[in-house]
Amino acid sequence: MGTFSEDLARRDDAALLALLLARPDLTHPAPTTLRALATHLTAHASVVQALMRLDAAALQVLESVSVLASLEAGPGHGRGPSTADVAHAITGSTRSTAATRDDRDTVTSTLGLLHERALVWRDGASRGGWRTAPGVDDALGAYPAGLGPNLRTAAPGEAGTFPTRGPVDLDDAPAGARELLAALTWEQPVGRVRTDGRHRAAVAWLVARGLLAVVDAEHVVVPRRAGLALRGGRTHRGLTRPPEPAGREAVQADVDAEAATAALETLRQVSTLLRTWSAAPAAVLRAGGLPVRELRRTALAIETDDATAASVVELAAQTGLVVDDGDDPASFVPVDLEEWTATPPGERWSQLVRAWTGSPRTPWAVGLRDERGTARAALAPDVERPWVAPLRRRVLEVLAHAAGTGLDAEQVHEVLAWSSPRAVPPLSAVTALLGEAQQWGVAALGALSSAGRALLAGTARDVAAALDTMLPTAVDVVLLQGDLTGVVPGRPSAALESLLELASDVESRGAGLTVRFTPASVTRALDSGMSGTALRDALATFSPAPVPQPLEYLIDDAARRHGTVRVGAALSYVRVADPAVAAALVAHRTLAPTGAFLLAPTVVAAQVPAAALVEAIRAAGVSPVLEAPDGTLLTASTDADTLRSVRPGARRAHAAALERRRAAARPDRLPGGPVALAEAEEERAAQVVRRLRSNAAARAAEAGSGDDRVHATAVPAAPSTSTPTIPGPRAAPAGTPDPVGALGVLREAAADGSSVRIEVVGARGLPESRDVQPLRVAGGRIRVRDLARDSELTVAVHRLLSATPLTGGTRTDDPSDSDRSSTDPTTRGAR
Amino acid sequence: MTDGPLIVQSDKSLLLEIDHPRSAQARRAIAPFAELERAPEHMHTYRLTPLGLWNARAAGHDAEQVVHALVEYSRYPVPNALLVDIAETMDRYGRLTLSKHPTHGLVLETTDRAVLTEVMRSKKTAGLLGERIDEDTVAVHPSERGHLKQVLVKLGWPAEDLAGYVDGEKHPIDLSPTDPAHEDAPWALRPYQQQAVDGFWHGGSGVVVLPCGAGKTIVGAASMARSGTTTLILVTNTVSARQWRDELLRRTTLTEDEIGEYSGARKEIRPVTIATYQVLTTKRKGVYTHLELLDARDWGLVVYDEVHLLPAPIFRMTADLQARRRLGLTATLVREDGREDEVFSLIGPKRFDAPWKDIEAQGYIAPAECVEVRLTLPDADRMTYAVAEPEDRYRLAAAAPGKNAVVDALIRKHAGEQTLVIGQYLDQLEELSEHIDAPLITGETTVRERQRLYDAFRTGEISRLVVSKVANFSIDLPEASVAIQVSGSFGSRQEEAQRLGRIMRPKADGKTAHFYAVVARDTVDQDFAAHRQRFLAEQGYAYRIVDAEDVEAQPAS
Repeated sequence: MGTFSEDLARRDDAALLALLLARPDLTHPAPTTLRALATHLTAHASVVQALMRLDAAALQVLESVSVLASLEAGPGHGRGPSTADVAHAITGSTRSTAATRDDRDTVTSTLGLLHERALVWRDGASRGGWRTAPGVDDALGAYPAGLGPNLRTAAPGEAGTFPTRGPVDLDDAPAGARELLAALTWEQPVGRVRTDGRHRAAVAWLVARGLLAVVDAEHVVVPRRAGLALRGGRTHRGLTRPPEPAGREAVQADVDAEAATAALETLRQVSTLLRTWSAAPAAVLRAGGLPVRELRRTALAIETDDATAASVVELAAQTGLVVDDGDDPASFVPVDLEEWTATPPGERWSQLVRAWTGSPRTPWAVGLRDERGTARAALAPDVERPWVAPLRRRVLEVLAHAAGTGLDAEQVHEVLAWSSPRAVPPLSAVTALLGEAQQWGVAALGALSSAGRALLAGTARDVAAALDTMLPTAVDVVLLQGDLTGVVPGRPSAALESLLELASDVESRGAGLTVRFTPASVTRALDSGMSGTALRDALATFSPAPVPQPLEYLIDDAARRHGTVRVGAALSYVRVADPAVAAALVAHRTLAPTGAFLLAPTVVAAQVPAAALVEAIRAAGVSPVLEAPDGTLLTASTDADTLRSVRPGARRAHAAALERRRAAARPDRLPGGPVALAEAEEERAAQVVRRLRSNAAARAAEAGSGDDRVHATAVPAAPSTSTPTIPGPRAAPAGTPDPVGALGVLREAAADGSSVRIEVVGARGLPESRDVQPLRVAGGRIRVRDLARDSELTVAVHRLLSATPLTGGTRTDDPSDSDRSSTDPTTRGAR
Repeated sequence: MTDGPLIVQSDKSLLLEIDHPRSAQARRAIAPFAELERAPEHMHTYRLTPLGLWNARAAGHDAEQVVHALVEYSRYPVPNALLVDIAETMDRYGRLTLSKHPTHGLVLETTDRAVLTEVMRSKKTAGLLGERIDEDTVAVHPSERGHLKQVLVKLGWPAEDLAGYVDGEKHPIDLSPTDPAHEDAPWALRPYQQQAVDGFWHGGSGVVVLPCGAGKTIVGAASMARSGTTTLILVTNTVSARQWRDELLRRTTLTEDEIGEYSGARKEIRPVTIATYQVLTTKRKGVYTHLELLDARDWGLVVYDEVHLLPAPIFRMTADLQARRRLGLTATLVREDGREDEVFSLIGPKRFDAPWKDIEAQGYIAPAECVEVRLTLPDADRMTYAVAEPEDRYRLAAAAPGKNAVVDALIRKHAGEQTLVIGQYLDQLEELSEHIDAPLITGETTVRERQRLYDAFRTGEISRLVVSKVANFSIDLPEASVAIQVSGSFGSRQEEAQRLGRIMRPKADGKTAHFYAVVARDTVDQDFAAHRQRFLAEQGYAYRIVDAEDVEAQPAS
């Protein structure tokens, strides 16, 4: 791993830390040596991951470096493009106008960023041209920047004289040649043409001049060098800029007003959901999740449609307000309803949206079919995706950036697509996330509300305070009218709201509240324990005018009728003809443990099964007879089994289980979200860096040489415990004993075109040593060119024992190297 | 935007706070496009409906004005979604027009072919449309003009009716400047009456809603004067026909020869003809025998009195009527079967509406106090009620014997005032008539006898009258100031309001009218009463509820 590793090794701790944070996949599993880190870095999967994080401009710069470096690489051109070269290739102008200066600054800073992420490197020893890291070229694809493959042209005379800058001379081209080239210059280098057709002359002319190459009977391609020349040395037409979508104007006051309405509606929906499930918990599917009929019932209760209800249910679950109680049968129950109701609205909303920000759930998938054709249920375990939380954050950040304008989903998607062209998020997800944000009041009219901004940037208290500022002031007045309706001219205060919720039916919501008092609603208030007088007084407190007479009469009438029909529970009863006997029974001490009480003058009820009651009455000296429910007498059998009874224990057990579950399931309701996550990542990365450094120091000390190279050649003893050695039939040979490291060495050699000595296990099981030049490392196989035998062969990775770069470095411009490496003239020119 | 009188709700209703200083301005601003739904004492409720918005478009208002009005007077920020919805709804108006084609007659034209295709494909327009004349035009059967307009409203693509009206035969009618009934003292239209006539005329055809006793007949007369053509007036019964005739003779320049009555008794067709609904809908052997009345003359104006009672089928069939100006008059445009919008499709939309309390405040109708007297049934009756069949329950409760004592007490309390006792069940009424020694008018009473009794009541010769539901509407008894209702047709809100209307003529001494509804406690009677009272309560007439035992104790006010 020649100078790429050197470049890596030259980084200081801060730079390494930045690298590990920028490419978090590198810490899983954590590398222990810089060699292992380098190998991991250049693995295809990691490079692809890193490319997915680059925005369109960075990709342009990377492609440009890749193209220019590939054309300049070779004996005598080992430098790679300079920053100015790259800038020119992308932006084109060398005049320093303000615009191009900005562009060039952008290019410079982007190169710095790419270097930080170890996607490009430069030769530290003076010249400083940029090269792409190993593996990047493969990951960029066959046609970076739309330029063709770098064909090593067969005609020796042309290769050197072909200019990379300056115009191409097409003056005496035959008909069609110009058009052909024009078609293939910028977008796509491969064209489809019948080479034995009309354009035969043109194609032949172009091929002869090295401007075109024939791929097969139907396809031609413009080679990279020619293509670049045709473009006038430009790899791109210009540096792309981040899109600035022209959203519609969004005044912050309007946005806040809409968001406040949405937030209040959300709080109401969550509270109604909790109350509904507190009264009647929702069943759980066997596979986990909410059945459709429960979802529908919930949707009816919170006065909305199924899709909105699903997202509200998910929100409540994410915040930890509802849990599966794990009972048999299981049901979803609310947790801590009283505490929730007592919390002020700003604080409640803050909890909800902070939990939402970090949640991986995808409520928009509820109702859609999965691969097996079953519809997904809300609260099911599989309705989540790990990429949702970061995407959500990115969406909010896009909105935050476009301050003053409102964006729609397509525009947000456009910005996101620019910022990660290799990992474009699905438009449906972006639309759904934007919709969720607007549903909760984090955003409205396509822009972030003040509370939404606080959510991105501030603490929990800031969020609550921001929402409180956005909400309209609460009103403490209800206008009661003679048609038994009441109107609150604004948002009711908490006390007023609970009173009206209790005693009336809501007719109309919005900026104000209209309610209607009916006999049923007033009875409901009386059922909750309020007396008629108390209700009248409470209403009078909130009403500026006296309570209308019809309403007063209604309350009095309901109070008069309330409590006249009563229900209680008893396990058995005694009917006695004589009231005196009944009274005596109740007072008798043997009946005391039965919990007997007088239900009516001639009826006594008790809390024990009939058999026990019979016993007790017998003990009191009276002889009862048993009767069946229809009044007929039963023969007196005191066998308890013949009497039906309800186990009082079952209900208690249920309650206990519920309590247990609640206590166990009480989650950390304030996960801290992405901030905490990022801190954990940083800690881990710092640890890795420390370990790398200590390992490197240990190794350098052991090697005992002042060699810059990380790995000295002879390492007989004590490798770190995590790198296993492959035992061979001989003593551990020179070179890296680590097979992963061997791959890295081979990859780097393949990128550089240098030679390596490898040890492979041959067909007979004995190791063999060969000097080879690796061509390609992919898919568990290594394609190499055997330098001694001048043939190509493929080596399976698992047969590889070790790989050592041939001494003298990777630079083949070292004359001693070329002498030694081969006697074959073809290898020398084959760059 | 802060501190305005209007609160916009998310269900498209508007709450207008009456006590706010800017409420009058706000009301004027929203009246063109919002419908008044309820008008109790503090907060009036208006509603934004597509029909209302389209009527506003027809009258020349555009979406910007509507939005401006809402935003200007709203106390809190108006939800953006609502404003967008309003703009979209109003935009749907005008894509379709009904007009007169020189060769094809009535045609439906469009500026948007997709809309026309959608409309033609819909099942609801089957049979209403004729052949397709070209890409943008389709013929319409003339008799289906009103029906088609109704269907188009339901589909969400209202048609602008530019087909105009047939003028009809000219016949000069003017309002007489002096009132012969009051020694030829000069009289003039009241402001709200003038507004009603203007609103109707400007809209072409439509319904005018005014409280009972506010002078709807005069509005009819003034419209006739404005039209100046032959007129057909349709009323509910013969007594009412006679009343109309008397009023027209008094208020207009028409003479006796120019007004004809077409009813069960007489069949006169004159330039102004007053006919009853009943005679027009008579069928002999499956044929409408008197339909030729509608074609007898080239009517320029058709007036429908008490239009909420309009029996629909016949009037949908009469093609030519659709092309003439039609005026509907009523006090209560609510039907328990919910078919108010049929009236709109047959006559036209509401052109004028005024809250009852407003007219009362201006002094044109008497202030009225509504009281519900709750009577506790004795135990025996309660037991009978409890075990009775459901269909008998209302009758048992409403015709409870205890009500007679209450009626007695109320009459004693209002001794000397002209009192009406109104009920539903004939044997109950007969018993009451005997009990309080007052004459009885039912459906069986002859017209002549009825008129004699009404006249006697008007002059004060008799001060108490027991009437069945024949006296529900139209009967004009100016000095009646107390009405006691013992039973009614189940939960009919409109009947309750009409009965209140019998006593709402302004009294000579300006005293308050009293309306009593006697109701049996804890029965279906009480439930129906609650429903019946709703319309009046929403107009601001809240019912005071007293127990029957307390009637004596309350002083007469």
